[in-house]
Amino acid sequence: MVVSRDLQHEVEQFLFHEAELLENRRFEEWLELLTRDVIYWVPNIRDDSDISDEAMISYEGYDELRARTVRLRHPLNPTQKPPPRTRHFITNVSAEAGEGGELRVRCNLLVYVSKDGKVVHHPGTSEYRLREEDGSWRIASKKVYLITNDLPLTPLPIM
Amino acid sequence: MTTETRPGLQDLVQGDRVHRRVYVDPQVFEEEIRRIFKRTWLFVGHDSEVPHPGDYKTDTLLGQPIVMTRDGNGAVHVLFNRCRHRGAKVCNQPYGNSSSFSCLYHGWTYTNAGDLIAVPSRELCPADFDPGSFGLLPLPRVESYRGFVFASFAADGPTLEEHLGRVTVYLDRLIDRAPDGEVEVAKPVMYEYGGNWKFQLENFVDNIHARFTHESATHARRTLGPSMGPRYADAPITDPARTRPGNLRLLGRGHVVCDYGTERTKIPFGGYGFSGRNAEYVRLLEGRHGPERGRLLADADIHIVIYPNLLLHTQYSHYRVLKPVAVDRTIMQGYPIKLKGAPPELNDELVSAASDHVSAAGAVQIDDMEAFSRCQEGLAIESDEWVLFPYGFDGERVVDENGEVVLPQASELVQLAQHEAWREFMANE
Ligand code: FES
Ligand SMILES: [Fe+2]
Repeated sequence: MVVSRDLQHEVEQFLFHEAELLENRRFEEWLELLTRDVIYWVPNIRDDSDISDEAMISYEGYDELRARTVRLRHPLNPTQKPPPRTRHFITNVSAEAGEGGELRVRCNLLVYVSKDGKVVHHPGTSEYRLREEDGSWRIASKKVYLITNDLPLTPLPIM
Repeated sequence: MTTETRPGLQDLVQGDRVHRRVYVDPQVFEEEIRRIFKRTWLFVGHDSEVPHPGDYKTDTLLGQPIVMTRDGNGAVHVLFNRCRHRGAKVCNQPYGNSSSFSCLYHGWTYTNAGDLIAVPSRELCPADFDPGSFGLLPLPRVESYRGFVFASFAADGPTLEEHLGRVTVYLDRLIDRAPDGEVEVAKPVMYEYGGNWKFQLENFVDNIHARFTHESATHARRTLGPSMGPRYADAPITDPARTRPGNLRLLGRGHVVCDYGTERTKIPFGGYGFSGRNAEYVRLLEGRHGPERGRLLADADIHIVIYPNLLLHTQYSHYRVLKPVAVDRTIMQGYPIKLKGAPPELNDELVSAASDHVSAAGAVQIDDMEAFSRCQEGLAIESDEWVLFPYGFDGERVVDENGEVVLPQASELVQLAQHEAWREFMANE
């Protein structure tokens, strides 16, 4: 079921806002966008990943993401000197009603990461479950399928 | 190949120092491939990657396509993935199940044991053309140890058993952590770094770097760990000033082990020793091995380097396979190790912990990769020729009753042992 034009707009603005927080290293504010039971999952190799049978590029809950923030902020983190610069390009946004008042959102994603004179890019698709909490949308899950996930990965020291 | 480097190769490792060319010279790299990687045993894969008849996985070994198969009788083969007709790579799927492989080009078809069983339009070939002699070529030697499959490009040389020597004692310890006495692996993550392959081997048993390289990860664990799930529980950082004996062991041929004992696993919030966490798991191990060895296995915290391309880690249960690509480029595959017969939730936790540790977007290995590429950059400088390994050089080394050389935990003699093995391989034309 397609959502209203207003809601579509709201979802797109939400995704753009998220990207902006990440690009500007406003990590703590980004954490505020998450539900406490969030799962952030970047599967590896296949699209139908099974967490029991496959290593994952990333599979993190709220605590792990908070720890990631602490790491990225730490003055001695060797991957952050200088910090990588990122840009997120988000297109093909679609939203539909999910279970229990949640929204299921899907978009295409192209992330550019520039670090130490090298630029890598990762095209993929993101799937979100958004849940309304205290009057705003929060991310209950985010699954990112990179179409580069069958290649050896160079360091990705980002959120 | 220049004459300049050949006579000098052995002189590139001297006492407590190693010449920068060992890490940056493309000609040295070429010689390493020839004198080390093509001579010795290379780890290829684990039995559990092809559990059923017909299962296969494709990969590369030193850049050459291979396919590891399990035939209809259950035997494992390691074959060159190259059509005997005009050379096409025959199987192009990363893994799958098939009783035969048909070449895309002219349709020659091979069984999963490598036999050539169909040559279309064979009547056009000379009458004495014999398909029987054009099966997929196997690697010259293939042997396995408790499910770990190794191959060698060299038809002659030490057997796998001779090659592994005492390292099997520690490999046994890792495998015996599985209540059923067998491990199985999950599909790997892959990462690559802009640095020489030896950096990864040196780093895997480097007990001095953590409090600098990984301080941000340690800090996150220290401050958040106790409130967080077990995934973020980690050992307290190794104190380089401590010289508790019995940690590093040199096993010959470049194989080394770091045995942390059970100290790191006895911390308040768990770690990946399990005696404090998963009672069911410990009960299973004690049932099989008795209380003493059962607990030793449950808490085992060892890093194993099987020279030159396999690194194993019990705490963040995984192994890594090393692929030297160029003098300044290395690809690693990290396979989570699951313990057969262990409670499923424990295995899920292990896969997750291994991923987090080894992924290029994870919490630990990513810092080391930064160090590797910075070393590679720094070693471009020609006027500073030597790389130094002074820590522990004058320290004690005890030879135990099994002939293992035992070192204190903060010692660079463990890296020098790898370079010594390197020197011996390279000395042999
Ligand atoms: S190259 Fe394979 S059949 Fe011709
Ligand atoms: Fe490290």
